[in-house]
Amino acid sequence: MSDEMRPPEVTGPGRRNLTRRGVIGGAAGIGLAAIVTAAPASASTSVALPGQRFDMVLRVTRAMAQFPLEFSAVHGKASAAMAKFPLEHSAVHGKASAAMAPASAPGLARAARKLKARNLAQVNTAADGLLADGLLSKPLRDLVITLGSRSAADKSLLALAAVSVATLAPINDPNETSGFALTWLGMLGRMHEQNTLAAAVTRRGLR
Amino acid sequence: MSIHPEVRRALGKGRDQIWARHGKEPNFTGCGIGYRRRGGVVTDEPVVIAMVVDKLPAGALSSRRLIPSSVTVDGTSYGVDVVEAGPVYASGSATSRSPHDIAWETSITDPFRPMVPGCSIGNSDILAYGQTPGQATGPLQSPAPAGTLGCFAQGPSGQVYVVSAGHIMAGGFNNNWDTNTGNRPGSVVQPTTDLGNIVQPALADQSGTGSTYTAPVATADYVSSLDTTPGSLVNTVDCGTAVLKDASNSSTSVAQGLMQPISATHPAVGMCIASDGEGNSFLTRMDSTMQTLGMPFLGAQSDTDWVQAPVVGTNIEKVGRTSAYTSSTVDATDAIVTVNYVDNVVGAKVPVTLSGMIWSQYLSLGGDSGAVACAGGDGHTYVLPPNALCGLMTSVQSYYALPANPADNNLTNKLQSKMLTQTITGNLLIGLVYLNQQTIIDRLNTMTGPDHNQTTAQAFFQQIYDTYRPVLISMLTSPSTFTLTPQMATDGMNAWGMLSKAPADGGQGLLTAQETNAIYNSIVAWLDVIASAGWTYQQMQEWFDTPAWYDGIYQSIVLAPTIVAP
Repeated sequence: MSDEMRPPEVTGPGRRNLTRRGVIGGAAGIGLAAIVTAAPASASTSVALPGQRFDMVLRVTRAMAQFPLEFSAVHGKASAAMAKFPLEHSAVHGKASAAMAPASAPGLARAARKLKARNLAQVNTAADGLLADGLLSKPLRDLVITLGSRSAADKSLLALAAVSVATLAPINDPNETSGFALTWLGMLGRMHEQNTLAAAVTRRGLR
Repeated sequence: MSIHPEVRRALGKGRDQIWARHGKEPNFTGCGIGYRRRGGVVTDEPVVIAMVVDKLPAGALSSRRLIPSSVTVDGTSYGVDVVEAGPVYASGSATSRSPHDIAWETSITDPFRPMVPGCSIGNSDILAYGQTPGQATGPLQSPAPAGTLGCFAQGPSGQVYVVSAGHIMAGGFNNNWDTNTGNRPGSVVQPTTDLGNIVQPALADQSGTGSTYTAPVATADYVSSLDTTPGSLVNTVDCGTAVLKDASNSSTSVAQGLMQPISATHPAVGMCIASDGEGNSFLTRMDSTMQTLGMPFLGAQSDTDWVQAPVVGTNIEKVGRTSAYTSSTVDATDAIVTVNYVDNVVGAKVPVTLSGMIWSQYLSLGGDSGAVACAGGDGHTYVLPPNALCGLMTSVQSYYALPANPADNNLTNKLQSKMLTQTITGNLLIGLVYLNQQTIIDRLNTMTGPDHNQTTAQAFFQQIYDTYRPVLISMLTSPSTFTLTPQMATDGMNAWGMLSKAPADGGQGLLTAQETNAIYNSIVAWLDVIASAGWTYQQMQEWFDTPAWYDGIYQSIVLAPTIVAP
């Protein structure tokens, strides 16, 4: 990730080994996000998710993009399909299908800028929990297994997954946790309970 | 869109040709006169409609059994449209109301005083006859089939009669034992003057409810004859009457106010008497019924009042004990149909040929027998058979380890009847599922893929089930509040990926490449589009009723040779 894209290193209250600088920065980040939410997204270039949290969320997004399926492979062909239909309809004509985006830093930054303060706080909390377990540097396989084990108990993970969904499918609101974020984490949680998650992510070749 | 009388006469001759040639074949249900259907859409071509239990490919039939694509009458060729219907059964219901029934929420099984058209009735004495021939008394071990009070008629001496289907009044097909000799009647079921007591609601609807409405409200006194001679075409009605014990125990207002009463401006067209398990309903003509009874409707002057001859394509509506209010269309008239009656003495089925019948679809279920269908309604307030997709549902539940919730059958039926059947594209989708049902079941039974893929797919669809079952219920309950969201589209696209992607890519590979392209291009891709537009339920329905959209889907689907198109 390039330095110009990476936000400044800031930690939040959920992070272990907190520093005074981190606490202040985290609080400032939440406040900034609230301001950004109130203004049109294009009015600010500020990045809502700071530092390692950003990288952690990006890593979750990359896991979502690969497991259980390659996310982009099932989306994004609607425009081609529409061309085959010689019909006009006022509510659809001219509409593009929901474009897919890669699990990229710019995509995540765009999604994160739309986060409302409450959701941002939850994303930070979730990211901090994952960072505390060192999952930023562990294989994606370990990250997905951990998400499965925590999905039932840690509701903040839903907010984090929603940002990932909005990154991969920008049609989605990153504050909306009832869609694929819930499906994905629910699926991981069930697989964890059924003791099938580790084998499945291993066979999918997640690293 | 009525059929010209001369064409109808010619088609009648063509129908007779088809009946003469195929009427006795076990796979042949009947034939009538209507319009050709193509891809689930009614065309304007008048044809002979041939009904078969299973449509078989031409190669699987001998030339003698192959139904011709046309018939020639007086030098003119007319088309023959083969549709699937049957086997057909006289549709009383022997089962009590159950929360697993399709129509349990709306079935009309409550007591009514005064009694009204549309409510449940049944013969309470049938087992006293049937169980022990020669003895008119005995314990009731199981109730007679429940049916529907169709209407009231005025007797010549001022008596008021309940009118319903004959097999409901008689408590079954063959209760007419000669109580003196114990002999069964011959080929013709003879009417008698005392066919037992009628109760309301039917005993079948009183079991387990704590109700005590066993006191008779009427005495069955007439059931029309049914000639069981193979090939006989004399049967045109299946009706019966019971004289009320208290004439004031009658109201012409329809149960729960679900329909206007029968009148000169709301004339009666037919009486529901039979159905199959696939949504086909068969009615006898109401003008013939009233003339057979020789009595007018209660409040009318003559037996020719307040009736209307059936016309193909017109809307009809009825209120019945099982499916309550429904509306459909007259899809064929002048039909000759083999109806199976159950002999409740020995349990055997007795095939009886009825002619002059009306064919409709999704109008009635078992227990609606006797309900009178009147001209009117929107023509598409349907009821679907409860078990039509039972096999598919069971396979899907097993494949994804989903809960075997019997109420889900009810839910899928509602999805069909309340939403999909209301549009031409929705009907196409229903047809696609029905016609390809066995293929889907076969694949689910054999293509489980690697364990890790299967467990992933199961967890994924279990979560989808938990999330979207309440959404579906909400949509069907309050359509005006439903909007398709981007979240739903994203979930839908991923679900599609699960089904279609190869196992090596994490999917289940349940579809061929051609099927994947066809279904994606015609249906799935649009989910993204209409979700981005934030469509409401009403917008979705309007679009589903757009011919261009229908055509687009149809043309895409037929590109996949393994998909059977309607």
